[in-house]
Amino acid sequence: MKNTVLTTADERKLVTAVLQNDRKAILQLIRLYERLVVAMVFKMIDKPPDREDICQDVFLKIFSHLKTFKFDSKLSTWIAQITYNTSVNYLQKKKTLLLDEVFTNYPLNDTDDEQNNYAETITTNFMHQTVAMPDELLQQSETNQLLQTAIEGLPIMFRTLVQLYHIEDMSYTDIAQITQLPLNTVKSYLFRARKLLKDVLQQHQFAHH
Amino acid sequence: MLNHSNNSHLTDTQLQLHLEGQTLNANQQTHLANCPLCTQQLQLYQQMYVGFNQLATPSLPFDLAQAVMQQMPEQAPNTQLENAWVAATALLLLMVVCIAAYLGLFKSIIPLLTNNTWVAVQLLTAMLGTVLLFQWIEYRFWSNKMAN
Repeated sequence: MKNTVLTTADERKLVTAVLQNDRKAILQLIRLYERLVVAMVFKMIDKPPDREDICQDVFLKIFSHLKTFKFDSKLSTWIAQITYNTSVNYLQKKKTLLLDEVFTNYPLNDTDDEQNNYAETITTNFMHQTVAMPDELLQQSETNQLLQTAIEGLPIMFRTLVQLYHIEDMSYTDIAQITQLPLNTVKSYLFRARKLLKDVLQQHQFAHH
Repeated sequence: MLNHSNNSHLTDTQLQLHLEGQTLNANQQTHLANCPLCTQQLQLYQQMYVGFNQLATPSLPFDLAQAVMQQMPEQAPNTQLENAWVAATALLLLMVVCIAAYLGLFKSIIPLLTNNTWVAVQLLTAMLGTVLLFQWIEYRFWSNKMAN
């Protein structure tokens, strides 16, 4: 699940063709970037009907603003930025918080039992959801399921950063540009998000043994 | 996991940075090789990193590309703009010919026509020229709208 890689020359060709309203090029651009847009929207928006509308809205915005794209960044970064802004606008209208203070203060290096409520809750919920399996089967596939559940339990901002960095393979700099956050904040949030996820895996491991 | 000396456990930050490619110093490497707790923590992070690459890709219950394509305008705005410029240039050339005829510049080329015929030609070209001028202005206005 890597982010689409086009050379700058290919991006220029594609953008030029789209601006000339070449239908094949438009279709190609959507096919190339729909996975990125859909994945980001799914991470940021919870309601399925709203996700569908936002995904379409993002592409219509991309096409209506494409002539303003100056190739200062990768096309994927620019598209991710439009996706992020469109989703944030939606969340602001719904008065949904991107990040709770509890999570920004999550301890990076100490394992404090009181701070591990998040990990405990996620693990307990997950244990109730899953069917008991023999130990030898409780390997990576179960970790993946637990990881998916744990990511969904993270605040929207953390989920989005994990998606962009670990699944879309974007750099810290690109993510800072997309989210308009300082570079160090992006790094700090990602460290905290990974720590939270690791704590969930650890709780799960303890619960099993 | 606290880390205040070379012999204490590696911090979560150090473990994460290690997985991001940052090299551990000799003490940290020795500690990691001999500490089951740090090794276990590192394995959890490794499992997590592997898991990131294996997560299911979300998908919409309809063809997004087709849905977006249906909402896109049929004809290319740029092609329309080019056509508008060709038409505007043709109209401008016609206007120049009309103005030249109105000023009698073709009189020497067609000397057989009487003065009355020339008056009629001048009137007709003046009318045609006015119509073309309005059309050209309209085209310019429309072209500017398309460009914006």
